[in-house]
Amino acid sequence: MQFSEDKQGSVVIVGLQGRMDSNTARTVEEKMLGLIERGEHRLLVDCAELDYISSAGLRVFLATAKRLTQTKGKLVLATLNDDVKQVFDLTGISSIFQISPSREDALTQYQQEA
Amino acid sequence: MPPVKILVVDDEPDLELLVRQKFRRQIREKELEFAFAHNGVSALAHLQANPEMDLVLTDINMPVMDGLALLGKINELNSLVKTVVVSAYGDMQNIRTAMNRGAYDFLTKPIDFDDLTLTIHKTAQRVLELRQLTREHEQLAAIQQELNVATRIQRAILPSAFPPFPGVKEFDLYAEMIPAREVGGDFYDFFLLDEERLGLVIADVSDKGVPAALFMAVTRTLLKSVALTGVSPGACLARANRLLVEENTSCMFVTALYGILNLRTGEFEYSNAGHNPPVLVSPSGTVQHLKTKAGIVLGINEHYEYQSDRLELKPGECLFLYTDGITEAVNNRLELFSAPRLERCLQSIGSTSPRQIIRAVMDEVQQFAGDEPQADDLTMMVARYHS
Repeated sequence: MQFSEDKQGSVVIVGLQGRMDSNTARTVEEKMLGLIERGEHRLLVDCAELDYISSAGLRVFLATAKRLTQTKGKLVLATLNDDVKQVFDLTGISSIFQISPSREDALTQYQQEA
Repeated sequence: MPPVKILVVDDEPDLELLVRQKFRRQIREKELEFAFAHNGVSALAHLQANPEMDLVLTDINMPVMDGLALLGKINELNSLVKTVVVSAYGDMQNIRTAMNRGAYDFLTKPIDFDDLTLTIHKTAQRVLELRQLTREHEQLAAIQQELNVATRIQRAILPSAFPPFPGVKEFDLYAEMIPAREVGGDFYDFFLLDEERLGLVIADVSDKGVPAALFMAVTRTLLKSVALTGVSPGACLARANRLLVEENTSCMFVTALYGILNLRTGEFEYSNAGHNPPVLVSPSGTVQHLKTKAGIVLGINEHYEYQSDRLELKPGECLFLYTDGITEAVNNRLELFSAPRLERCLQSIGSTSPRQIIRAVMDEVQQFAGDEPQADDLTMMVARYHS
């Protein structure tokens, strides 16, 4: 599981690469919560290279989103591949998140707010 | 801090006086505590009787058993004590032998007491660290042991006596879970609501480990107690969900499917909270995943209203319920077993006894996965309706 980090304006773009399962989810959770501790509260997760997500991975996104509501922040997920999107849909969890088809579209979600 | 306990081994009786003199302050203030032996044999006897010794300071040339032989014996004691050897200046050969036998450090005669003080503190520090590590290691082993017990307890709360209701002839039922390496969160459950209604639950808690196991135990109890009030599957999931959300601080969630099979009419009413839909296997060989209204997983959205779906089971038809450990089993090329492969597999098995169906699917999944370690529990439950 690879984890990249980039910043555009006030938005931190996190790129996830590989399989997010019970073995790797904890590392991602620590990184995401670490970003929030650091004071970042606009997170965009680019899932273009996320090959697989298990329930443990979904839990990390839920925990991140929950933490961000406490800090009045915002989480947007972008470019989910079909398999990953299906997991979000089957679990009904896609209704909880803002999911964007592209990174650019996701970035506009923050601009509208600002 | 307890005193550092040092055993001084030397055949010269003067050394004892000298040590007591030089370290009198530290002895008085209980920083250091000395014991003395005059050869290897009596030193060894002292160590056996006093396993809490931290440090041995030993001469090399002594009668009866010399310092080098003593070192060898100390290694056999399996204690954490560290040995510092004292040798004549320039006696490099003995010093090398001592170091190779596990001596922690060496000093040369005549003893420089400032250097000895430093050496004692440095060595004692090391012994302290080792004792700490050993303690932590023992604690870890104890935790591992408790985890093993937790896993056994968790498995034991799943019903495992089949047939479960020997007097009831309207259905056959079998269920099995093959746990992944860690204590996890899959479970199945079944219970008679009354004489003609059978409740079936299959569920999967997000993530692994002790938090998942605890969440699983709570969810199972909640679902069962709400279900036993006789409410519809949708109402049951909604109520259990509300109770779970209240106590869910860590964003755990459960995917669950709950259905009620009416044994008199064959009607199966079910509701789905983000779980894999069940598969209907008919005697004619058709196999299909049931359409379910995709409700959200339990534990996240307090106000969610779960819908129920209905289906009429014909005699001989089977309901195959499973968790994603089956369809997401991976082989060594990281390919998933997948839902289409499951359907093909069920098609080739046909509608036979629940136990045979589960055995055959399990065989196929395990053959597919080979030696690749599986991240998830493999859980299946099959009910076959007879009328």
